[in-house]
Amino acid sequence: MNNLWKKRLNLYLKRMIKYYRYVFNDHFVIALLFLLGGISYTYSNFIKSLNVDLSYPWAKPVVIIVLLVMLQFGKVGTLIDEPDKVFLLPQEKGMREYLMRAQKRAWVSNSVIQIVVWIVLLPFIYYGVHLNLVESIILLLSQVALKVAQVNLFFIRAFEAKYQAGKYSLIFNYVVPLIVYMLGLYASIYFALGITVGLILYLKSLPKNKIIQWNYLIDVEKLRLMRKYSFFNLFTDVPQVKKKAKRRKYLDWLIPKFKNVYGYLFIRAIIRNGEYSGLYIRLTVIEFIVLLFIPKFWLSLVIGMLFIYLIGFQMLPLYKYFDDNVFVHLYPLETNSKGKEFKSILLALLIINALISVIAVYIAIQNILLSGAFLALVLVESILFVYGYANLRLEKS
Amino acid sequence: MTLKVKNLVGGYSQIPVLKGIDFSVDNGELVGLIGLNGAGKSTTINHIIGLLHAMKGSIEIDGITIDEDAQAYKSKIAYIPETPILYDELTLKEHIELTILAYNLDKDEAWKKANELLEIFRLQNKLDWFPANFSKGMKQKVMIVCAFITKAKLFIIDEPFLGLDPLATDDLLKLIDDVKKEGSAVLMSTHVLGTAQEYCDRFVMINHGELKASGTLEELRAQFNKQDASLSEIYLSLTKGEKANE
Repeated sequence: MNNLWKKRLNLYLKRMIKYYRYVFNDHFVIALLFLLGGISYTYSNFIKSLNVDLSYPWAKPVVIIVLLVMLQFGKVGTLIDEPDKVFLLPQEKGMREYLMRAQKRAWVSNSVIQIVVWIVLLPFIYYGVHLNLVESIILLLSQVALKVAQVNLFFIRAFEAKYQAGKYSLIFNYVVPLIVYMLGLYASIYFALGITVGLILYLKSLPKNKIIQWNYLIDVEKLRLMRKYSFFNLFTDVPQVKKKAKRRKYLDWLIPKFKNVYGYLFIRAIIRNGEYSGLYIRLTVIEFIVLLFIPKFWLSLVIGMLFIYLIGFQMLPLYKYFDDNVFVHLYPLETNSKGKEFKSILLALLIINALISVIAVYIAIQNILLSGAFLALVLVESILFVYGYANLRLEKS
Repeated sequence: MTLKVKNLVGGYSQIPVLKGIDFSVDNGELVGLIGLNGAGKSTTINHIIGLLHAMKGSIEIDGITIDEDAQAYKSKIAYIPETPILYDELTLKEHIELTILAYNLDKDEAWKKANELLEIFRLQNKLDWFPANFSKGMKQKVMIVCAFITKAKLFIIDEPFLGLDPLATDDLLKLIDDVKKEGSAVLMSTHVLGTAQEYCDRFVMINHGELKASGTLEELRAQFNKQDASLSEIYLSLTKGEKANE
């Protein structure tokens, strides 16, 4: 079973590396650098504006919210697959060993996330909340202990159905952490450490002799992988992600009366398949927020243009979305109608994005002339992107 | 003559699966395309509907080939695939709307026909449903509804009886009969030889990508010297004979 875990982990990591390579493609890395640059710049300015001698009553709640949200990041990967419940059924004992391996890995990988969060928060904890280094380290230890407790709860659930109830998630993910943070930051940080150590000891004392809850393990792992794959699916085709359409009747008003087959299809794919609408909305919202914090015209323009390119680029696979449906090849259509319709929809999407982002630019730089220039340049880029770059790409395909 | 397949050589790769197939389907005629799994039925159909390009030979519908005028050629075909193929993002109503758009049909007339068909197949209350909510049989019925509102000259129906309940099978056969009377041609590929024998006017038998025999049941009986034999018996003797020769 030890070998099985190693083999699966190897395979899994290889697959993840393969997909991350698609995620961190050139375009995305550039966008990410800009985004991180913008955020770090804003954050560092914000830290500089803090004064160690002043007290900020809002600082502790902010730290509590950030820690609580970040505590929810990171899941336990068991790499258990559906057929396991048949093929590995006689391996009850071996599976314990297998799961122990999975648990150890989860401890490490989840702690790393919390340590990174803590490092990022450290300046704010020092300047805003006024904890010294020892206290900050104790806060980190408590946060890691809370995460370890979450991981341990998962493995208790793997053997004991009664702990799978939602109330335990609520207690371990939100209620106990909130108590820990409140006591730790408002009373004494040593309370935080005390409670979390107590929590882990309590979990250790729970009976753990029942049989493996196969269905639970399979469902949780499936959900975890599906979330990962849906994310990767934003960047590349992931065969495991099945297209799932949602009716979204409330968005029907957005659907214009199309006289063309492809227009009819594309607009519905965008609205009802979360893949494209989700991507578009996410990128537009991120862009809007980033632009709100940038008071410099040139930087806003670079970011605005970058996002037009990013959105346009990520929308290109929609062109081939219906290609595996035999009927689109059977319809008696003009040969160029697909490209024509796709380009006009893409342009409309980019124009809407430009109109939304110019609002953020205007709020940030408060200059109507420069905002107008921003809009004009971004619109020109949109047209060039659709009828130049996209046109070339589509012709190639 | 609606469909004319002349010396068709073709397949998916360089190596031809179809080795020179000849047959035709007349106006108002239902022709059964008979063959075992892997005989070349689907490949033949894929060539006719234009998904594959012939390596040799030609396919004409109403005298035109796909290369001469793809739009005119395709507008004459309605296709019902073996496995239902629907758009995950479209409701049943929108599948019908899209078909009306794609085939440039008169909206009122097409909807009138669609409503009749929806009622026959008991789908009239499911207009707002997505394919994900349909069973396989229901999906198949959606395909039938969409195909039969097109007023096509040639209906190509691939294994229509798999997944359909007996009532729906009967309704489909009636629909086929109606379009035949209106002068359309129907090419139906099937394994269900009993039903084929009962309803088809003529048969085209293929095996290993070659045309083995074609004609009415009487002609086939005479050709194989088997008086009173059923279609199934004729086809089995043909394939078994081939097996023995291999």
